[in-house]
Amino acid sequence: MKKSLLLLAGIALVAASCKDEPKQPTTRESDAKYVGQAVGNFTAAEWYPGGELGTTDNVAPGCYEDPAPAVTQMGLETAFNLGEAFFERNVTVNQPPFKGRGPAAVRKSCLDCHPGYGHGQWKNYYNAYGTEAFGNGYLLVIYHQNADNPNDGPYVSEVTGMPQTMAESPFLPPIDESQISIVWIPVTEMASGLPMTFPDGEKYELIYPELTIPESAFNTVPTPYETARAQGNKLGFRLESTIGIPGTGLIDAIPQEDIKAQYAAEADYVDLNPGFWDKAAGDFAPSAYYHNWQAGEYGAGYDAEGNYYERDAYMDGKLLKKFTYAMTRGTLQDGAGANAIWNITNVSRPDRPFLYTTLAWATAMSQNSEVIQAIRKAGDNSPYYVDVDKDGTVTDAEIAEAVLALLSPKTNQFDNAYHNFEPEMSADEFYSFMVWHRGLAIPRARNLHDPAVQKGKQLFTSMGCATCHRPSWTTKDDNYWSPALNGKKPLPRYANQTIWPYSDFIQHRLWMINDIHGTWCRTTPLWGRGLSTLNTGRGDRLHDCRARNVIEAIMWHAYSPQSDAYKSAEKFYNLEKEDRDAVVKFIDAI
Amino acid sequence: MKRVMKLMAIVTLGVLFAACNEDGPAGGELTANQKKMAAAVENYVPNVVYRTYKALADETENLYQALAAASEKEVSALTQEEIDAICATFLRARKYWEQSEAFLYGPATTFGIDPHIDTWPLDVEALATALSNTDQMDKLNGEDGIAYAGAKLGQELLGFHGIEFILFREGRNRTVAALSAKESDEAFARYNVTGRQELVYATAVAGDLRDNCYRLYASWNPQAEKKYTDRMEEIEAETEINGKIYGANMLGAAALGSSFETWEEVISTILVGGCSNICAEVADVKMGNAHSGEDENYIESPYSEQSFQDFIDNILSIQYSLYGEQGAASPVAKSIMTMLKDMGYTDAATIQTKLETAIKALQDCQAKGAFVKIYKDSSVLTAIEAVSALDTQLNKAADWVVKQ
Repeated sequence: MKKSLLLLAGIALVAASCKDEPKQPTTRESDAKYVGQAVGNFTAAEWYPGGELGTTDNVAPGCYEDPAPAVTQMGLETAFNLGEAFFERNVTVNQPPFKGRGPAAVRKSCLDCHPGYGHGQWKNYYNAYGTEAFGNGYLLVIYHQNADNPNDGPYVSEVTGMPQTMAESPFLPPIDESQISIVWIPVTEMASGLPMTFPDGEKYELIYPELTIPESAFNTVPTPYETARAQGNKLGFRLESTIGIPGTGLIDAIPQEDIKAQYAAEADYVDLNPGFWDKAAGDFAPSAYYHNWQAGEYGAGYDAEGNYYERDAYMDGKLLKKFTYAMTRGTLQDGAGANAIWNITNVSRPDRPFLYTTLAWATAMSQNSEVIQAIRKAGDNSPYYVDVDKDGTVTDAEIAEAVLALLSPKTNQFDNAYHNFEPEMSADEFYSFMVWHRGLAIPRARNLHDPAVQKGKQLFTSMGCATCHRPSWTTKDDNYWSPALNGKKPLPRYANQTIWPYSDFIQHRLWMINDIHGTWCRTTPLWGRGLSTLNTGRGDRLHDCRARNVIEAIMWHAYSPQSDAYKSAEKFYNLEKEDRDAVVKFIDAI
Repeated sequence: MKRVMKLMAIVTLGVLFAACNEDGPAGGELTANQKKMAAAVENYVPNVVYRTYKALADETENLYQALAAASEKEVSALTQEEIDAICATFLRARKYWEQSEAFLYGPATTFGIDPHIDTWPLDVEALATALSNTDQMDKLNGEDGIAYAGAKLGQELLGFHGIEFILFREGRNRTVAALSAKESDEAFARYNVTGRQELVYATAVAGDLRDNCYRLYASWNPQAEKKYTDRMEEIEAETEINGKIYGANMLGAAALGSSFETWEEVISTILVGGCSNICAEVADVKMGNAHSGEDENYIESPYSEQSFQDFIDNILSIQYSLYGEQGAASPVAKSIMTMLKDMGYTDAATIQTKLETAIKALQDCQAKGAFVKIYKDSSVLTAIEAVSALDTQLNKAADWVVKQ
């Protein structure tokens, strides 16, 4: 931390305090009688982190699946239920309406990576397809390491940004996942020098992953290793886990000008990513804005009021990126699930006519004689054979040419010279999927009546945690962008809601060993995470699930003395056990 | 579960801090109502959950054994009685699975067992490809056929519906003649798949199904008999969630070490996370998506044409959960329904009425024909509304209980 972020605490919610010390934590009384009431240092509104329109009062198993009240108010239940099916069902190769996968894909189902709609689970293996795929929410990150920071560097181009380990016969997967190794290494010494034992003697353990993928695992021409050798650099490998999806529509509704004010306020005290904030100008850097819309007409859209925008014209081309760890996406409707249903399961749709693949993989498959012979054997049953003949005899070269073209990411699958496929997801199905995605509620808070939770809130604020994990935001008109494919059909809208996501939606650095690719990581919203174990069976945290509980997550913030959150986490380290437990209870309650 | 939040009057959305709450949590001793909840749960866990899962485990074992025996024979040597017996065993296993869907929380969800054994749709074209692949069939027929099926076939070819496709067509049991002839399904037209290949596939998938159902039972019941736990050790299947067998975790509510801090949480889990969840699933998704989406591809169990029976068994799963015993036609002494009445819940009888109404509405649909044939019929909408009305009552009861 460069300067004390604690000074910023004042801009966050200042909790009124009871003069008396909170009572000792006791947890045996249901909170039901207190819901909706102001209790201790919590307002009545804080029971509803998603506001009136975005909160479900259900906190039982399955609560992450609930629609927000906005869905019901807008009469969108039917679309929500249809959209839900696309998230929960397996995508198959042949069976409409759940058709897709490729022929290369990252996963066969959304639910595998978001078990119970939540965060991916800690695993010591990578499995995309078999018995162990459920809950394995890891994505592989493969990049050319920069010389000055092994965590940073450009993605390799031979496999997709989210690399694929599945392929339909007769093709080979871009990466053979059986050769992937994940080894978890215990931290024996914190870079910050903090002991691995709290002052009162209680121990904590930290582990981090070492991911390796040998060259033999790559079915691409060239392999990333070959390119790295030619460039004179090394490959880096990292894991990134999925995060939970409830409440994401509400994040889309946060006013950009308010996030800008947050950047401006923080920039006085801590270095922010120069790719997002130009400190000298006191404004967003040009690269903070989202320009990665789909090409041409597919990048057009409507706002919630029905106004049409050409590609990159929404908000005059200045939509701030705020989704994903790396903050690569500006709107939920052109990010996260809207992309994932296309590129994770490789489901085409009218506005996504291209495959999520690479030329290096297409080349490798076109040069693989076993692949070519298998296609020849399938004959007219194969789309890579049936339409490729030019002169009365189908040659291997013609098959190879068709394979190269049809597997290429540049080929329009619905309009090409080799074989024209039909969109696998219809416009109506995609619309339903987006209603579902934007309509997922965040569950209400729990146990705010518990004095330990109230004490935890007080400590969370006073230690400075709330500076980055900013408690609340207020939405305005939520005039969202929606792809032109949806026309003017409405999506769940969250106007004028006070919400409590506990994030500033700004990137910071923790400087952990084997850190996240790119080093900068968006502050993860904390809302609803305390219900993870209930909904998913596990409560793993941080970008690669290296934290198996809240304590470990906090102590990773203190791993490095350079961490933007070091001083706050150091304060946590020095708390008495009862107070540490209170902070954990608070985080689990919100 | 898609519970819709009733808009509650929030006193103020501003930053309004309350005075210190002098009525802190009680802690310590259970209240009289909490003791009633504990007693109901102590009855529910063994008599509803354990019994259902044990029956499911045993019937899937029977199904596996019967299919294994059949796949050893020449198809032409099978009798129709043998095929019919296998079909009957399948339907019994299916019944217990559907009657367990009011407690899909816990191991069924955490271990991903529900999507593994009950995924829909079946990819029939992929099945045709798989069954015509000699190498794949050799592996399914080998010593490790069950493990191969579980790991390599893919969920779209696993579970109940893959077996259902082999055993049933158009609502009827397959015949020996049909199994002896070339597979007639359109997707198989260009392949020569034999009945024996189909039975080999069904056997391996039934073995994987059996293992998963064993896992459900062993993951809930800390006293699961040795044959179930031995099999879990053999296939190295995890049965603990966060170091605990789930039933023990639930029965240990409100004590240190349990993930359930209060008995109210347990009751809410059963009524909302369990019963209401499947109610909403039946009304909104299983029936609703087909009825409103006007697409029969959303319909499960089309080969045996047992969809309505599935839905009835789902509602019976709720009935048994509330009545305190697998198969109960009326509430037993320490049931959740009895608990509600003892606690003074005045709408307990309404729940029973809504249960009966929902089942009757589904039976009315069933009498009209298979769901795949009448999914747009007005009787389906009536049934959807009846099941939704039950859902409303379940949530109402849960809200009331946790506030006592």
